[in-house]
Formats: sequence, C-alpha cells, structure tokens
Amino acid sequence: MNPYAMLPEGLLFVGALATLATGSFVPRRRQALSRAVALAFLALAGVTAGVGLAGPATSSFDATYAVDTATGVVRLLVVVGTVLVLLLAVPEVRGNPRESEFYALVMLASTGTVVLAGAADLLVLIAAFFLASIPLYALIGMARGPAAAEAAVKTYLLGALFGILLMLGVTLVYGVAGGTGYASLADRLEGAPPTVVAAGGALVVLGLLFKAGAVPAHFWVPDAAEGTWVAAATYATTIPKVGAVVAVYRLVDALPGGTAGPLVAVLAVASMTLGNLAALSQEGPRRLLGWSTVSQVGYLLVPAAAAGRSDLALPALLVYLAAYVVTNTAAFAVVAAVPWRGRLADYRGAGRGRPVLAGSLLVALLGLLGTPPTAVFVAKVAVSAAAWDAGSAWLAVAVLLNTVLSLAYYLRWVAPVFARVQVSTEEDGVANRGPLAVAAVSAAASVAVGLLAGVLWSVLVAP
Amino acid sequence: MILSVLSSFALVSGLMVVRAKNPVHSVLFFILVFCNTSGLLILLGLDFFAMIFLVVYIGAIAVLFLFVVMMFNIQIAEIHEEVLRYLPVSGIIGLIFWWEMFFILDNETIPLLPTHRNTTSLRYMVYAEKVQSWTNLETLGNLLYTHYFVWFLVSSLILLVAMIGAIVLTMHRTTRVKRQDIFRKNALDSRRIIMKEGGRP
Repeated sequence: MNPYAMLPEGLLFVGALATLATGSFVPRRRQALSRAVALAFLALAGVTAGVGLAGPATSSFDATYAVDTATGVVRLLVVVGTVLVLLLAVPEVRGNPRESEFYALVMLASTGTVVLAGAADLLVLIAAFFLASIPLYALIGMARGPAAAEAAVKTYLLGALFGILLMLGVTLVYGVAGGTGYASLADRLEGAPPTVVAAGGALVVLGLLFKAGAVPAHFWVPDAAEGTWVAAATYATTIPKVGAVVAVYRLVDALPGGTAGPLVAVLAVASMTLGNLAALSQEGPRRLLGWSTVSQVGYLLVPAAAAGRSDLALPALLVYLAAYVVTNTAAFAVVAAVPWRGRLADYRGAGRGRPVLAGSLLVALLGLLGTPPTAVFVAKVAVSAAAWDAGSAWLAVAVLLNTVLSLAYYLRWVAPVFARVQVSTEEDGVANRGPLAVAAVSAAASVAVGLLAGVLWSVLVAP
Repeated sequence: MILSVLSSFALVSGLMVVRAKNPVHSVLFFILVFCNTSGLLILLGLDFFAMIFLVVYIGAIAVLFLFVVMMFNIQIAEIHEEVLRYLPVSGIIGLIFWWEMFFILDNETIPLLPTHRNTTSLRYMVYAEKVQSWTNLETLGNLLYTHYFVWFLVSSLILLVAMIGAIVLTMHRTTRVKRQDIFRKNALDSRRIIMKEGGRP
C-alpha cells in the first residue's frame, strides 16, 4: 500500500481540521486566518494532486479506492473550485460569527467529494456520499431567513431519502454479489437474477443523482441556488456534482453491461429537458442559474451513460467537468459581485462603464451555452462524440436540441446588459471586488481551457 | 423454538408500533422490536452486532424518538382517523415489499415451506459454528483498524460534520435562551449568598 497514494485527500482532511481549530482559537476579528489556513492546505493538496496525476494509475486500500486519471482530475477540479468559492465568499461571510465553520464545512465537503469520485467499493461510496452531503445541509442553512431554511429542509429531506435509497441499492447488490469491490463486481454478478441486479443498480444510481442534482432528485437545486448565500449556492451546485458524476461513471462501468447505462441515459435526457424548460420562465438570475445547473447535469450524465462502451467517454466527461466548474463559478461570481440586482430586469444596462463585469457575464453565459472558443463547446462536442461512438446517437441529438433550447434563456439575460440605458448613479452601487475578480479569473479560465483543450485531451487520453 | 418466539414478538411489536393509540406506547413497542431483533442476531451468531443494536438502536435512536415524542406532544390518534383514505397507496407499497421479499425467500437457500429434507421446522445454517473461531469483534478490528483505517477516519469525519452542522444551524447567542456563566458560578461565595432568618448573611 503506497502511503502517498491518498496524500491529497489526507491534506484536505487535515486542512479541514486545521481550519476548524484555527477558527476556534483565534479572536473574532481575526477569523480571516482560518481562511488563509484553508487556502494554504488547498494549495498543497492541489500541488500533490498535480504530481500524482503524472504518476501511474494505482489503487489503494485493497482496491477500494482508485487513484487514476479520473481521480487526479477530480482532485484538481475540486481544489480549484473550492479556492474560487472561498474567495468569492468573502463579502458575505466576513464578520459572521460562523465564518470559520463555513470554511471548515466547505473543506470537509470537498474531502467527501474527492473520496466519492475515487471510491471503488460500494461501502466507501456510502461513506463518501454522506461526508459530501451533510455539510451541504449546514452550508445551505447557515444564512438566516425563511428562504434559506426552506432550502435547507428540502435538501435535507431529499438527501435523507436518496441516501436511504442508495444504501438499499448497495444492500441488494451486495446480497446477490457477495462482495462490494467494483473490480470483481461484474464477475460476481454473472449468475445473479437480472431483476435484482437492475433494481439494486438503479437505486444506487438514483442515490448518487441526488448529489448531482439531476432528475428525479433535482427539487432542492433551484431553492438552494436562490435562498441562501451566493457562496453556499455556488459550492452546492458546482462541486458535489463533480464527485457524483464520476461516481456514476465508475458504477456504470463496474456493473454488468446494460444494467445501469440505459437508466442513466434516460435520466440525462430528462434532466436536460426539464432544466431547460423550467429555466425559460425564470425571473430571478439565481433561480435561473439553479435550473441551468440541472440541465448541465443532464449533459454531464451523457458520457456516464456511455461508460464502458466508448473510449471517448471518460476524457469527454473530465473535459466537461473542468469546463463546467470554471464556467458555473464565473456565472455565480457575477451574481455575487452585484447582489442587489435581484431580478433579470435589473441587469438591463448593467454593462455601462463596467467592462469587467459585462465581459465576465458574457463569457460565463455564452460559456454555459457552449459557444466556441469556450471550454463547454469543446466539451459538448466531445460528449456528443462519445455518445455517438457508444451507439446511442439519439443522446447526441438530444444534447444538440437542448443546447438550441437553452439559447433562449441565456441570451435573454445577457443581451440587455449591453443596452444603452441611463442608470442614475445613486441606485447603481459598487461591485464587490472579490467576487468580481473571481468572475474575471473564472471566465478567463473558461476560455483558456477551451483554447488549450487539445493539450488537455492528450493528457487525459494518454494513460 | 426461540426463533419462533423472538420473531413473532418482533412482528407483533412492529404492528403495534403503527397501531398504538398513545405515541409513547408506540415508541416503547419500537424498543421491543429492537430487543427481539437483537436476540435474533445472537441466534445468527453475530454477538457484536446484537450488543451494538442494544447500545445504539435502543440506547440512542429509540431514546431520541422518545425525546421527540415527549417534547412535541404528537397526537397519533388524529392520524388513525384517516386510515381508509391512505389504504390504496399504502396497500400498493406494502404489496411491493411483499413481492421484494419473495425474491429472497423461496429459493434453495431459504425455502418458504419446509422441504423434503426436514418437515418439522425451518432450519438455518449457523456458519459461525463451523469456522475456526475468532470473535466478531476481533474480525472487525482486524480489518477496520489496519487495512481500512482511512475509511474509519472518513466515517468519523461524518460524525464531526453532523456535530458542526447542528451547532451552526441552531445555536443562537442572542435570543432568550437560558444559559449559565461557569466563571460567575464558580465565583459565588456561599457565605455571602445564603441568608439566615432575619436577613442577616
């Protein structure tokens, strides 16, 4: 057992505890020190993850945890996403008595997400699922007010239900397989009654889809995106998804062919379509972004449905995850930079004299749509190619049709920003600098990932 | 015979959990279900889990239920008035569970009716007797704290998160909550506080 195989996860773990301890012992006005500790440990974890990505694929703890390209990329994405969220959280969280707990919970949820992505055993999947879910309940509920409380209760109830379904599915699969490791699962399930395997696999996938925010477990996403702090909303809609979708990919790959793939494909199309249709009628930018993340999860699940049947599936999934993390963070960061604009109509003319804000919003929304040269364009092409290669051409057609459908609501938001409207100076505030910087950096990263996609692809396909 | 007694008590107690008029009786029957299940686990040879059932399920979870029922004064009698209204949906869900159970029962390992091999009672294999014996606890400890210690730590993180989450969501320092100031309490001097008759200290 290589002791350094799980070093990034260990650093995230220790970093979370260090953040919590720092916050407990440092005076109230110096709580920014705990943020510094969190960022330091995240940087260390990112560096070790990068080094680990260059090494060979291995597994640790008796093949219960897979340390391969997918895990390495997820580690890097989670670290980058968490750093962006911590920086974007500054205006809302600074001065709050629960500031250091916010940072500690974010770190703990990141640890859970990375372990969820690397889990190669059903029992580890359960432990990581809970470690990644429970901090979200507290993060969403931390903001005071009835909207946040409603969002937290909805998330909690759905999380409890789908956690139970996940465990029920694991019990069924274990019952017929006699073991829980992914590596031997396909062999053990040779002679098992197919209905039980299908039912168990379906339940485990449903449980994971709660973390991803996909249909049928999507009810919490719009309320969480709208009712709580923007930083908590950004975190909850971006990071856990990364771990959950990779976990779904690994599961579809490990179960015997044809067990969970079609279900994931159907739910992917349902998420895409429902997310787009619901976003068309939204009036608030945060709720619109919530529904747009539901549709993005639909696109993300397409390569997971093609797992095992196409070599393009895993690189396509990882490229889309990278693109999605930076682009979604950029969109939420713009909303965090100008939080007093609570409705889409308030964004009319917001671009006058604010080139950075308008540019970031444009890149972020067109990025979520998938215009070249942003990263999501490359990712959507890759995802459609993977679906075509796996023989499910209808999935590629669904992705294309839904992209066209989503044009309507993204353009409805971003086009009026550049209108020539005179905004009186007293009602126009100053944008928050931290989130504005995060928005600019994320938007730039989105374009950069798109332009460098060739290099990224060669890294992902190589081993 | 013990199997029949324990399992029938468990079934009856389970039924009484949903049919009892008084909610506190409901929780007490819930505790009885766990006691009987603990006995069934001992019959299966899982001694550690039987004791853990007693400590965790009865000692923590059922006591939590009891706290909730007593604090919030839940009236179960009102729920009973609408049984017929919910019968179709609950009937369907119950039938689904029955159907699932028949996947597991009625195969060669667990026959539903007595087979030709034995006609007197349901037999089951106690594999724990056939193996070179390690106790359950030794087996768990041999794996959980050595090869898979990281997953043990991850599980402990889940408990830590639950604690932090509960405190973050519910602790209000400013509302009218009774609390104690330990330093002030320690600084009290009984000779100055306790008055004798007539108002002299």
